[in-house]
Amino acid sequence: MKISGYQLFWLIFTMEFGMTATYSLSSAAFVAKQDAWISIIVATLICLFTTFVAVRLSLLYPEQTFIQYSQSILGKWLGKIILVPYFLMWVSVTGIILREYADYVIAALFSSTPLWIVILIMLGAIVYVTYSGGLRSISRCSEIIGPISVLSAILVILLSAKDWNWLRLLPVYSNSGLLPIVKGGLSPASFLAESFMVVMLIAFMTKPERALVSSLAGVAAASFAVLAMTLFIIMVLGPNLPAKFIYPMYSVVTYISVMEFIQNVDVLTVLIWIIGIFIKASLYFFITSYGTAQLFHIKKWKHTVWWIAPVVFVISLLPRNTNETMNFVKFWRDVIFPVNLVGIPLLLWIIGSIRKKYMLK
Amino acid sequence: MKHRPTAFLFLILCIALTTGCWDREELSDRVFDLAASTDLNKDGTYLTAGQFIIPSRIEQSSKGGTGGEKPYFIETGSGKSPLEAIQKARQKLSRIITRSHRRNYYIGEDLAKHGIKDMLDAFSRDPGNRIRMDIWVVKGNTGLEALQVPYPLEKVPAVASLKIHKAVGGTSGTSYLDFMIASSTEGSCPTLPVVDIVQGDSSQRTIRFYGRAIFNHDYKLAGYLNFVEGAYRQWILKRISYLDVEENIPEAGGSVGVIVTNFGSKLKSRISSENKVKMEIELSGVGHVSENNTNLDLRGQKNLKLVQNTINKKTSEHVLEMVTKVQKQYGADVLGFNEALNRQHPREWNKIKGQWDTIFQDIKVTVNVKVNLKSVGLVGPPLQFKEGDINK
Repeated sequence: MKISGYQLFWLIFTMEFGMTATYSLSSAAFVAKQDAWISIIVATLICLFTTFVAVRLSLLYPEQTFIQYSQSILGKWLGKIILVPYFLMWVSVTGIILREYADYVIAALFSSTPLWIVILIMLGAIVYVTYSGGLRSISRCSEIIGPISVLSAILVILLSAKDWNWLRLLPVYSNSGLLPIVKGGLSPASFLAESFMVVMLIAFMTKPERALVSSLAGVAAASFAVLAMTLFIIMVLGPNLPAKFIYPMYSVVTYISVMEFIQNVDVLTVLIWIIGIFIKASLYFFITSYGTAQLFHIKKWKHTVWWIAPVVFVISLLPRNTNETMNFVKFWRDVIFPVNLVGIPLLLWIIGSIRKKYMLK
Repeated sequence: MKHRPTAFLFLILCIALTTGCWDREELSDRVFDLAASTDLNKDGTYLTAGQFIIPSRIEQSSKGGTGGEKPYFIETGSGKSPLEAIQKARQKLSRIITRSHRRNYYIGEDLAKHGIKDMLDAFSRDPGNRIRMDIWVVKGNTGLEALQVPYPLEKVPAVASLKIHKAVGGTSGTSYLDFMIASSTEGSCPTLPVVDIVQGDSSQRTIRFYGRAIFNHDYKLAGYLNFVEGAYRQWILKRISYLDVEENIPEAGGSVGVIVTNFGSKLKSRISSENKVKMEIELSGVGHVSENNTNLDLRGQKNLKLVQNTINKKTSEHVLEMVTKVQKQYGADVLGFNEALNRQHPREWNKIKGQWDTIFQDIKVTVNVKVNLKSVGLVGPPLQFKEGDINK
């Protein structure tokens, strides 16, 4: 299981773009109004920083995964304790992503298909790709279907061009202000910061020295795509409506009509979304399985797949309605994002760097 | 590789589960409505109606056979809310209603006056609906009546109003979203396009594009702008692609008609320290002369200038009349003045936005139309004049 820098780029881009564009824009627009695009830029800057920290942290021990070097940095027991929130996060987020996927698919396409069938089919695909080749299969998938989501995004933007109204972006800044813009950036940032998962991926790279460029480029490209989507949503829906839609990207695409002929292209957004979900959930699933095996020193990591899949499935069925899934998104933004994705990595990086310097002396 | 048989089994299962519909809803179980309407009954309940396609008759009429049978039928239902009314209609329908092709929604005048607050939400909440659609107010009549009027050019009459709107230079499919954007913007009042039903020269009644309906902040009908006034308003908002302008030229004893295209519009706002707002409207366009009932030879630069200046001056006056009517009579900002002020003077806007409705009525407006006559058509002076009568 080795991946190249190019594959890492597509992995990060694909898993970040679809979900950030679908889920985080509504709450960004809620506080920042027509300046939501500035919020996206703020989020990008935050996440380029967190990604930088995560990569530098991993490069302290380029041969090891997060599971191993957290113990090298903090010692055996403390290192294991600090992994607990991460395992909780990985298992729960995989389940919630599956549920978000099912909610969206049921809202957009199949209204009367049972929830568990939709989840089970996606979970089947995820288990299959993880079990058959692990990270290598997932990264090959992202290499092939990632560009498809880029093409769909470009198509959506081009088709909507005649409905753009640039004036809707104005006035810049004065209707919101600094605090709302930064606040609006938190939600997209909490999604984009999921690039933190590189801490588990860099150990598999053939050339770890390329990790920094690939990850930062992946985050930047995904952010740029999200930025384009945000601009287009505001230019079509105006400053107030995007916040009221649950999936503004989907709703705005149903509005597209080119020459009364090209219509109902909302399937393109479903495509972007499903591709993003598949890669992201597979990555989390792989990380959880592989991490569990490393933590408990299980020789054949693939065996853990059969334990984790049912757990994930049950978690995905726990939320009673769409609002509870949304609550997890809020919990992710308010708790997991600052602690797991920003705080602990920064701390580990500082301690690790000091330790390395000290050891060298 | 020993897992291959399991993988194959799994894939086959996937094909079985994912490629078909979970529960069979074939085309023969669906009915498509192309237009619907809601009215207010006398007892305060809602009456909804839909114009549903009869697929077998659509095929017949496309084969050339007239058959004499309409390819659609209308079904109605009444209830306390629009949803309940639809439910009543469904009791008479053997198929499930599919709305994704619906383009037009008619609202009777009584309901528009009563307020349409209660019926707007479902259009965007229910994923079966498209937000690209037009809502029409039927002036002086009911929505049901608008559905019932036959229209000879289109197979299904419901398409007519939308196509008329487009053919006269308007927009199509944007009125619902525009209504929502205006309602959710501080200071703006929403509008909807209007049709009415008229007795044509033949015995048949027909549907006519009337203009624009202005709503107040409570989503109640405040009044109408007629076709030309509505077009002027669309010009200010740059939402128009075609307009005929005909003005009398007193110096030449006749009128000149011009087709205007390539519309442009600029709003320049100024605000004084006492919150007095001034708005300068600058409208531009490219004109092509299509009718000349004067004795002017339009090849002469002087004559063309005269025509151009007169048309611009008179159109400016008419636009100003429309703006004044909107300000004084309706007191509803449907002209985008609030947005212009917000863009151009954001700080002042934040202070005065709460009192915009009163400020709007006292805005001092100047209108400056600048249509540039680019071509005079195929002839200089009218052909019928003798040499001596032509004013070169």
